[in-house]
Amino acid sequence: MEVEVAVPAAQTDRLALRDLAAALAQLPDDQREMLLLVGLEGFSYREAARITGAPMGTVMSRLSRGRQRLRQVMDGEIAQLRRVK
Amino acid sequence: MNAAAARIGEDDLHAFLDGELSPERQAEVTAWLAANPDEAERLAAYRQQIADLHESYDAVAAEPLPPRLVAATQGRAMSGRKLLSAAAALVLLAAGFAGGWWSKDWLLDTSRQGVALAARGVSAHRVFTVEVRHPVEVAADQEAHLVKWLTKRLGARVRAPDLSAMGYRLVGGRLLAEAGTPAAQLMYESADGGRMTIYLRGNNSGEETAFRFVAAGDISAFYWLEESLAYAIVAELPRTELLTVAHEIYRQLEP
Repeated sequence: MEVEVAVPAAQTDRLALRDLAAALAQLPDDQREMLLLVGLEGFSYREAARITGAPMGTVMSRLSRGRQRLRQVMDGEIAQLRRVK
Repeated sequence: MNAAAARIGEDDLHAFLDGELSPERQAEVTAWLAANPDEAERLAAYRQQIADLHESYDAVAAEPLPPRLVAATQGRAMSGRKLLSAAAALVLLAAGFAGGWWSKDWLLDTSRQGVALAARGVSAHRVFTVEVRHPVEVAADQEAHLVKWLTKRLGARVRAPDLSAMGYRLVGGRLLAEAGTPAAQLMYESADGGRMTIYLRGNNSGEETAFRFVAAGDISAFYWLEESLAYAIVAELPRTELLTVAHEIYRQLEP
């Protein structure tokens, strides 16, 4: 028999938000900025380059490194939460 | 695998994700991903990141456009969605530019109320402090009337702190609109013409926050939500200098 523990949706949402915020905070400023401009704000690479004053190549490398790092941190965060619990 | 597909690299994958590729290249990457499940999985994780960002932060996206973005995008058409959503950058990027423990603290602040408040306070500061002839609606020589009027409109007791000991004199104040509800701005000026504003609005969210800091370029703000009112103290001052003034304001306004 499977037993499921019900967690209120609002509570898990809040945890997820804190997780993401905490993970973002661990990213270098230039990488976080790029993730937010392109990922959240939906600016094109060209627009993001113009806003930050960085060349296109730099925009792409910051995106690449930022996404990779965010993934690593988020994975790490989840593992940490489980350990603590 | 054809020659073009063989050249698909990291940049192509991100460009694929962000819709930056031509339809032909898009098709090549799609085919390549079908043959490379590990990479497809990694891309799916990145796509999830973007979805998470939207889920977490879209609520603050309806804020005014930060001037830095206005300057960067001047002279070209932006879609309404971008104009609206670019605003979140003010609050989110702010923490990024400034760095340090407090920005982390701020990023961890899940209070949408506080985040929106700070953004509106900074926005109002930028708009009105540059006014030379009409910086305020009601000048400081009618302070009693100003305070009574704003108290009535905001539905909570508004007070104009006395900051003369800190080198600031009250210039006056004005009534503002925040998403259909009244808000207000009190403006102060130092002897050298530096202006500081207090942005305030009623707080019926039931939410109260600690004293928090945010910086957006050269502008800094401290903000907090208390029982009946929400405040943002805004100035073009470094954090430490604004902190002294903000603490004094906080002390005087304590319920």
